[in-house]
Amino acid sequence: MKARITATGFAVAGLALSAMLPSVAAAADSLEALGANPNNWTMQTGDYTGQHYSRLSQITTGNVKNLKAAWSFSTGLLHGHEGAPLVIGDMMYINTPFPNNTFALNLAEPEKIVWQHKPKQDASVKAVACCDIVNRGLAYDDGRIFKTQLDGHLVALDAKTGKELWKMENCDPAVGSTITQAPFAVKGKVLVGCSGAELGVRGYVTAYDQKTGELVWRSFATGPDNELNLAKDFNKDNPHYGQMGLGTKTWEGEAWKIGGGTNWGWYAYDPKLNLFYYGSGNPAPWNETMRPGDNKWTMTIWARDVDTGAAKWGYQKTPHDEWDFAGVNQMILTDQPVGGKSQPLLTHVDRNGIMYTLNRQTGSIVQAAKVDPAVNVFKKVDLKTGLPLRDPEFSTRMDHKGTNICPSAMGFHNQGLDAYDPDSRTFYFGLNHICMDWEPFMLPYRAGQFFVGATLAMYPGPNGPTKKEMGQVRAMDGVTGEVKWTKWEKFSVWGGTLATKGGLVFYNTLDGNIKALDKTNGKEIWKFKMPSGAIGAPMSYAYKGKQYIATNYGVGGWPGVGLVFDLTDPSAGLGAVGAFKELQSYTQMGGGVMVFGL
Amino acid sequence: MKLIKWSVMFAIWASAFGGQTAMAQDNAQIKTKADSPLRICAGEDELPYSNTREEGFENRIADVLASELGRKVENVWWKDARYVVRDLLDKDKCDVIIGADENDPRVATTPAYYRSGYIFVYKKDKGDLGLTDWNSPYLKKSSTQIGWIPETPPEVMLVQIERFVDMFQYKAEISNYKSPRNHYIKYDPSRVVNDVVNGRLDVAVLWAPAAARYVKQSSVPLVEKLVVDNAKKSNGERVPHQFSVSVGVRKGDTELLKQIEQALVKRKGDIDAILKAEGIPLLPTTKP
Repeated sequence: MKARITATGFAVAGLALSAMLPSVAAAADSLEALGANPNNWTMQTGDYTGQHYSRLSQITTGNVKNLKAAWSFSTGLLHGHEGAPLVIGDMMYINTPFPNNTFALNLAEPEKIVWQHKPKQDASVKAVACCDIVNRGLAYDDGRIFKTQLDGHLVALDAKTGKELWKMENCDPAVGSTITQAPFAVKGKVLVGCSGAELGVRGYVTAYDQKTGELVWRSFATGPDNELNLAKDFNKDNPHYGQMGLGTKTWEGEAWKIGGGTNWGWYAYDPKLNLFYYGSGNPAPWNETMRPGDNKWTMTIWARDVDTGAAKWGYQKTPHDEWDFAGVNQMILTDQPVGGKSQPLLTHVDRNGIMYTLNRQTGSIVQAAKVDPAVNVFKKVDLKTGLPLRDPEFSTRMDHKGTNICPSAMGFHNQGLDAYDPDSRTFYFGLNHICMDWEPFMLPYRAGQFFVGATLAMYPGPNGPTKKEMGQVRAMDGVTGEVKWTKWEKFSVWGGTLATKGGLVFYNTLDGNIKALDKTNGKEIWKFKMPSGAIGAPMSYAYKGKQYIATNYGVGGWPGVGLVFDLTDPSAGLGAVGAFKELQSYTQMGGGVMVFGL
Repeated sequence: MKLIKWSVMFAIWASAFGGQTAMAQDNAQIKTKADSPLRICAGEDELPYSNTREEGFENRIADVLASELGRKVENVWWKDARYVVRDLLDKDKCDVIIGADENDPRVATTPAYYRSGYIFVYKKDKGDLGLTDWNSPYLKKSSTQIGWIPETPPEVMLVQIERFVDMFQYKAEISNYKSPRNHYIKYDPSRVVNDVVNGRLDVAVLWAPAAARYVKQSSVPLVEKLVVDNAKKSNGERVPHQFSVSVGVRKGDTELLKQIEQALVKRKGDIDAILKAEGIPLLPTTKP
């Protein structure tokens, strides 16, 4: 894709930007052109491939020791700051958790706020969000900033003035549906989903017109084929994945209507195939005995046509989920040789601890490898059928007390954005290393009323050098599944990684360090302790010939719920408080952006 | 990690469970001494049953029983209804549960001292809705908004009459949008009655003792009507809508059980008066 942008293309885009006209060439590929200039950071995933890779090479393994804080910006808000700032030309755009404020700074004078957008939202929506009130960032295209609000709205702003251009309600908090996701701008449309699968919200992805906010199409994760928006030849290359009628047949009665499968993670886009990729989330309700069947198409990797939303293929990774392994994680598109022949690939590390590499044109499985040998919920994934081979000992049935279930409900990978280095064909995965005990209960109260639930206790997995590590950065080959190196961390590497042409892998830690590793061996060569822990990944941009690394900080999110809400009950926050209790001895709440330069 | 230790401790405690009960039995003599208070396991915020201001009808019943035993009430307050037996009664921190199901296997129970049922609650100005049981056509109409407390018999029947999916939203509302998987969620019956009053719901199906005082206190006249106890699942399995209520004590605490049984008989008139004042429809305690 990037190869198609010529050197002249860069120059034109750069020129338009220096004039700072938000209405730069309205061509459908304008965002691609901006992204092709490595000085910009135009989307949360880095670019449409989702490789989260910066081609800037000024900061290197040799000089990173001289990297210093250049400037910082406080958002004035606490709670978890997921996502990262965007940089387009000389402007930086910053997002925050609820109330979802947006700030625009001019890099020539970052101490002054150019504009700010502070939406008014009903505070009651905060109670609907499951795991802190995070937001995963902004999108930009053609002079507009696109943002989501926790109260379910998608909003378009004039990138120059911050003026609200349009606002659409995409998710209804009254039914438990909110937005924490970053929108995704592509081909004149904005894609967005909802959160709330655990509350029985039926998932859908919607495309809105960038100019008018008009709904272009909407495709559901469960239900009849026309609402799923399946192409006539859906899964023609892999009919064994399932084809027609399964969005209702794999549910009992009309349970698909409250079946969950919301998508609140990341998108990727292949302009050549005109397909975009994303994952649908977990089925509802959480108690799996209430929803017999495969519960299609929750937990599915989807390939859909960006113009119509029609699904070309879908692969359900975890049929009939029992663990809350919401399948929404990042999709990374690469072209790599498989058996000597280059293939268009998609790599995705699921919460279930499996790294899936598929052919993104057909959906065929190339590889399904455990990211850590501790994964025990599945013995393996059968590459022929695509089905996981479950180990009943580590299931979460209502009649079974499970211990040492790996991964925990948080997954070995969660919402973080990971990097791929095209030079060495290596993925750098930021991982959780947390397992859990599952103790179901069904306790009588009185007069036929019961309390039905489970106690989840989460704790470090078994494989860290001191057995206390809850996170790791792992360099892996996506085709062979080979692990090249591992860097262990005390806490989860929640936000993911950034790889740069300078040979570095940057990432944040929950206790507030931003670190740089040598990409060849995982050796830590730089770190800086920020005001608060971080749950997003760093990004990189250049301004006036100088490369910068920037990141949001602000601890929170699922791993930080205990800290953020001052919870003490170890079973609250789906077990997160217990696992991360120590975090409060390392960091406290905060919120802002840190920028580093040589 | 503290959490791991906690689970280990729980396992040890669980294996010692039998021993602890036996120990409790040995102590029974000391505890039933007339000069020691009667320790009631009571919810601190569990109206209409109890609260720390002792405004619940079970607070009243505890007073009657204690006075008959010539002892004072000492309330041992709990927050989380799930673990009252495990963490308080069985750990010898309190001795008496005023409202226990007659056949609750976790405790020793007296013969039932009252029996009641689930009721339909709706606004009087709706007229006759023809509600008798779960076969009533009004409930099956997709426009009828039905409220209930999660994980009660009405939820089972909503599934049976294919109304659960389209009323699922109410379950999320009354659960404050919290998934019960790993949380204790306290459901508030007054809120469900209030949703009938404010028009959010057309009809609620609630355990009469939980709803009675709110129906009585309502600013607009409400009708309460016992659900005919004939509900069945499609597989023929009965779904009871009437229940008998006993006083529960720790298993093996036979002396206290005997004393309370006698007190319940002797003070039946006072206790019935409390239940009637609450507005609870009472059924014969002998099972049909």
